[in-house]
Amino acid sequence: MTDFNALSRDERALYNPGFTGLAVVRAVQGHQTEFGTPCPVAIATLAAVMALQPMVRTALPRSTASGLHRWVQEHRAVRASMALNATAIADVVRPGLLMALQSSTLACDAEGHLHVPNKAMKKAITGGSADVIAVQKAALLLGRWLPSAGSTSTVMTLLGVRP
Amino acid sequence: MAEREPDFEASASALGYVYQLREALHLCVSRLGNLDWALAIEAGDDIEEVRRDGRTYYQLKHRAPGTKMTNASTDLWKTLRIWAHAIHGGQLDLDQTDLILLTTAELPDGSVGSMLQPADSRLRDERSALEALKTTRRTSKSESLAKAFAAFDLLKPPQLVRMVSKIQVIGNAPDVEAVEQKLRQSATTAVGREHATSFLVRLEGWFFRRSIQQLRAGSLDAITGLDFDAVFSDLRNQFGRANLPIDEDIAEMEADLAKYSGQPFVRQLELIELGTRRVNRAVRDYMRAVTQRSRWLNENLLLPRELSRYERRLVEEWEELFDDMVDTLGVEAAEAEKIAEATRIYRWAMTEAQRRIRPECDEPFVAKGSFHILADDYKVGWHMDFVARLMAVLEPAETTSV
Repeated sequence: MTDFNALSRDERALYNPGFTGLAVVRAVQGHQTEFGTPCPVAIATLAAVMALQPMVRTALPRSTASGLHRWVQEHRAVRASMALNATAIADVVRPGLLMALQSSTLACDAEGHLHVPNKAMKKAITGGSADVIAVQKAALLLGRWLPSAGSTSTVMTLLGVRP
Repeated sequence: MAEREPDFEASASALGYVYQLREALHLCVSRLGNLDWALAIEAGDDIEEVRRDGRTYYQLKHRAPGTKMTNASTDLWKTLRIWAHAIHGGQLDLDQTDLILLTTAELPDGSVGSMLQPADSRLRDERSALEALKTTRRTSKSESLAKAFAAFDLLKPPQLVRMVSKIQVIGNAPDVEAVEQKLRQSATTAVGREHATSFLVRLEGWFFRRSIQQLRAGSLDAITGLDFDAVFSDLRNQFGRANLPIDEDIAEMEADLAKYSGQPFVRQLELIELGTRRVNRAVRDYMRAVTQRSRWLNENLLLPRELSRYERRLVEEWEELFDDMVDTLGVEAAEAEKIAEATRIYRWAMTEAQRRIRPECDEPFVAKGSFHILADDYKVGWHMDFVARLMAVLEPAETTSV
């Protein structure tokens, strides 16, 4: 777990738990709209970790209609970027997830699945900069799209990461 | 704002310009390893390449998918017009020059374009191609080709034969996006998949600036193989695990003192009575470091926590010296002494403490600017009483006015 005070100013700005937590919430929101069910923690975290990487963001398709398998095949840079960054970024996403749970922006059920309580978060995506909006949109899309490739472990394997 | 009708003509020609730059960059990349060439845009032709053994003129045509280049095509004749004029005017020496027409259009079977493809296509037939050109010249009534026909008529029969023998038409050429894909492949080979995008953005940025410079000066300032090789290698080395890219636009930033005059890091310098020129330099380094660091982080070129580890190293080194100074001076020290000692520490931070964020990233502003960022957060300081004095300065008025 990262001690937030030990982070540099730039890291605190980019990876503050409020923001990384927001990315997780958006992923859960995406999952809810697509499947109507609570979202596995691993999927929500993975979506946020992916959304925080510009390399992955720019490679994302515009809709969830395309297959994840093929997309990963076509964009090999995504796996390369994940191999390099996923562990370090997951470390800054976890405090965000905790913060979202503490502030009841996310709730966790008995199976350990996440959902966004009613009225806890507006659907409309807003933000002070293009990047802030892009990260949220990417997380929302990934929350809808990742599970379409199969089980959580299949998705993880496909992207070359472990929980 | 009123809805604008899309202007296809304008967007097509804008695409043409982008295509021209990208294709020129792609040519440069494909010449890597060979230093003996020079390339100019819009000098002799769309692209002109000069080598020790001669030169090549490129005419580029970026057309919508499905376009065919027929014998009466404007693209073909406008190109011939340019070359014929240059030959007639003596600016183009056919003994020394190859002529290449590169088009994204298709070349229909039996067309002039198809018959003038490079020899390895096995379709090359210069004599029939010239006959077909003459036939089109005789039979076409096109107004828009009149000037091209007039230029064609300027050349004597042997000159026409020589010109046609030097022309190579390349059809179905990769379009603007396909050229980018090719560039991306080269970038991947150079720096690996994970950095290919960042690398290409910087290479295209440099090439764009360099092209503008060359366009202003004409062929006198052509991009040379030596130029390109140096830039490409430097940039590639910046993407190693042990290095980080320093962006030119940031390295050229100048200080904006007015904007930062109230900030803690500037006040820290005022405490030690630093001269204006040095304060200016500090502001400049601070601005550069802030911008470059956040760009590295945003592009994932720096991993989360790599920056904090670097800052910890800087702070720990500074601590050692600072505590030594505090112990040596003691609380009774005179102000002049305090300033003299603090200046010594500042000098150390700006000159000796050139800790590198990565072993090969040796740009001085990174360490210097990072010290100023830390000073801005009171994590380091120069004057031994910096905390007490600056906190007093920065306290809001209402708490002290009671």
